[in-house]
Amino acid sequence: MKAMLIGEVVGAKLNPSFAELLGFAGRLGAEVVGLVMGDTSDRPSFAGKLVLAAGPEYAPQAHKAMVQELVAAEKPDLVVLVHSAYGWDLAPRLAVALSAPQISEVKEVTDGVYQVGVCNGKLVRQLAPNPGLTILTLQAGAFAPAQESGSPTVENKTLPSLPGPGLVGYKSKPKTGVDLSKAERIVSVGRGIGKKENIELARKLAAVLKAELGSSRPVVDAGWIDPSHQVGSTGTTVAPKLYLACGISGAVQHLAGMKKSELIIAVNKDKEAPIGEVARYFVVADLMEFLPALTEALQ
Amino acid sequence: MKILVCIKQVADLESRFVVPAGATWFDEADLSFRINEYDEYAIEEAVRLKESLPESELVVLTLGPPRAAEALKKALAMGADRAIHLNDPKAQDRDSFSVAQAIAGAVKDQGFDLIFTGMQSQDRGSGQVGLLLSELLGINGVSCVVGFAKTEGGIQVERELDGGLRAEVALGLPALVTCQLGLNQPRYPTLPNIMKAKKKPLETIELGPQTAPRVKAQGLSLPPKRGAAEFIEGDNATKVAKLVAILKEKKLVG
Ligand SMILES: Cc1cc2nc3c(=O)[nH]c(=O)nc-3n(C[C@H](O)[C@H](O)[C@H](O)COP(=O)(O)OP(=O)(O)OC[C@H]3O[C@@H](n4cnc5c(N)ncnc54)[C@H](O)[C@@H]3O)c2cc1C
Repeated sequence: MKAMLIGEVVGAKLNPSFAELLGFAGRLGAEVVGLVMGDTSDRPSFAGKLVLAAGPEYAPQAHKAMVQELVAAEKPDLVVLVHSAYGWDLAPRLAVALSAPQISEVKEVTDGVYQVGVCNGKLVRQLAPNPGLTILTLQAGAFAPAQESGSPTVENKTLPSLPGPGLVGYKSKPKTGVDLSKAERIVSVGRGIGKKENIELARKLAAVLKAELGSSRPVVDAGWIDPSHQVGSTGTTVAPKLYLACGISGAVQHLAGMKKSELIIAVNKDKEAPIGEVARYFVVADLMEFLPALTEALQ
Repeated sequence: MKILVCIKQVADLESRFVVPAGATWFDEADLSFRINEYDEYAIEEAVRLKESLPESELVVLTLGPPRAAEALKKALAMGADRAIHLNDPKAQDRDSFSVAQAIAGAVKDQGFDLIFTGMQSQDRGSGQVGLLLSELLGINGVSCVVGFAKTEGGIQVERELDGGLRAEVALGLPALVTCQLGLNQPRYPTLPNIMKAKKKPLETIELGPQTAPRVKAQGLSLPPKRGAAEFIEGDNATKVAKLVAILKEKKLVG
C-alpha cells in the first residue's frame, strides 16, 4: 500500500494538518510519498519520499499536472488531501484527470470501506470505491496527527506554468467587533433563533450570565449579527468555561470551533441534532419559551 | 451571455431520518424537500448577473427524481428564464461522478459562458459535482466563492479559506464557480413572479439507465456513538429549574 499525501500551502506556510495525513497513512501502514506545491521553506518530517514543487501555491491546473506526473511515476494506491479549501478544490480535478473514484470528507476507514457523515452528521454512509487508485479527502481533525519523525528524501521540481485560475492575493477579515477567543462564557445563537429581533432574547441571557454573544454562520450570513461573533472553522475558535448553544444543530464546521469548551449545554427542539455529540447537557426546548424563562429565573 | 445554474433538491435536515434495513439511503416518505441552501446563493448570484447584463439568458438545471421539479419552479420564480429537469427516479443511487457526467452530457453543446453551482449539497456534502462538471467540460472552475465580480474578459472571485482568510482568484470565461454560504442574500420569490414562472418553459429529459458508479454505497446508519449528553426534558418550569441548578453547581451563577 502506497499513499501520496498532498500538503496545503497558504501564505508560504505548510498547513500543520499535513500531520493528519501522515497519521492516516500510518494507520494504514502505507508507504508515504509527500507532495508539497508552492514556495515554502517548511519541511514536514517523516520517513519516506518528499517532492517539493516550486511555484504558485494556488494554481489548480499546474497542481493537477504535477500530481498526474507524480502518480504516473510513483503508482500510489491512494492520493490523500485534507478536506479544506485546498483539498476539496484540487481533488475533483484529480478524479477526472486520473479517472479515479473520489471520496470526500472521510472520517473513518475499515478494510477499504470509508465512512462519511451525511445530512449534517445525522447519518453515516459506508462507501467502497472501485478497485485501483482512489482519491480521498479527510475530514479535518478526524485522524490523529502523526508524531512526526525521520527525514524524507527530497526531490525538487518546478510547477509548469499553465493557463487557468490564478491567485491574485489574500484578504483577511477586518479585525473589528468582539474577540471571542478569550471569552470565558459564551451564549451562542443559531438559525433556530428564527429572526433578527429574537437575538435580543439571547443577548439578555448573555447579560445575566456575564457572557459574550456568539453565533453560528447562518446568523452572520443573514446579516443578523456582526461577523466577529461567528464561531467555527471559518470564524473564531473558542474554548470557554461555558458554551450555551441555542438553536445550533452542530454541523462539523461549527463543532470544529467550539468542541474544546469546558461545559457545553445545548438548547434545541430537535433531540437528534448532532450538537448532542459534544454537549454535556441537552435541553429539549423551544427557544422562544425557554430563553426568556431562564433569563428571568437567573435575574 | 449564457448562464447556467445547477441545483439540487434536498430533504429538510431537521427531519427524523429513517433508514430501512439494508437500504443505502433514507426513506423519503413524509419528509419535506427544499432547494439545497448553497444552491440558493448560486441562483441569486446568477439572477443578479443576468439582471446586470440584459442580453443574457439564465437556465436552471437539476438532476433528480420527479419531486425535484418543485425546486426548478422556485428557481424560475427567483428569476431564471427556463428550466431543464434531468429526471431520474433513482437519482440517489448515483455517485457524484455519475451526476456530473450526466449534466455534462446534457449541457456540453449549449455554449454556457458561466455556470453557477452550490459548493456542496446539504445532504451528501461531497463538494464534488461542480468541479467535476467544469473538468468534464474542459472549462475553468473554482470552488467556495464568497465574492463574485465580472471583469473585462473574465471574472474575479474571492475564495473562502479557514479562519476567515480569503483568496482572490482571477479566471477567464467560460467558467464555473461553486457558491459558498454568505455570497449574497438570496431573494424570496414574490407572488407575481411565482405566477409568471408558471408560464416559463420547463423541459424534462428522461435519463437512461445508470452505468456502474465509481463509488458504491454499502450502507447508511446512525452515527455509532451519540455522545454523553444528558437530556433535560419536561415542562418549561422544570427544565429551567434543572438548568439553573446545574449552572449553580458548576459555579457559573451566584
Ligand atoms: C466550508 C464551510 C465552512 C463553514 N464554516 C462555518 C463556521 O465557521 N461556523 C458555523 O457555524 N457554520 C459554518 N458552516 C456552515 C455549517 O455547515 C452549517 O450550515 C451551520 O453551522 C448551521 O448553522 P445552525 O446550526 O445555526 O443552523 P441549522 O443547521 O439550520 O440548525 C438550526 C437548529 O435550530 C433548531 N431549532 C429551530 N428552531 C428552534 C426553536 N424554536 N427552538 C429551539 N431550537 C430550534 C433546529 O432543530 C436545528 O438543530 C460552514 C460550512 C462550510 C461548507
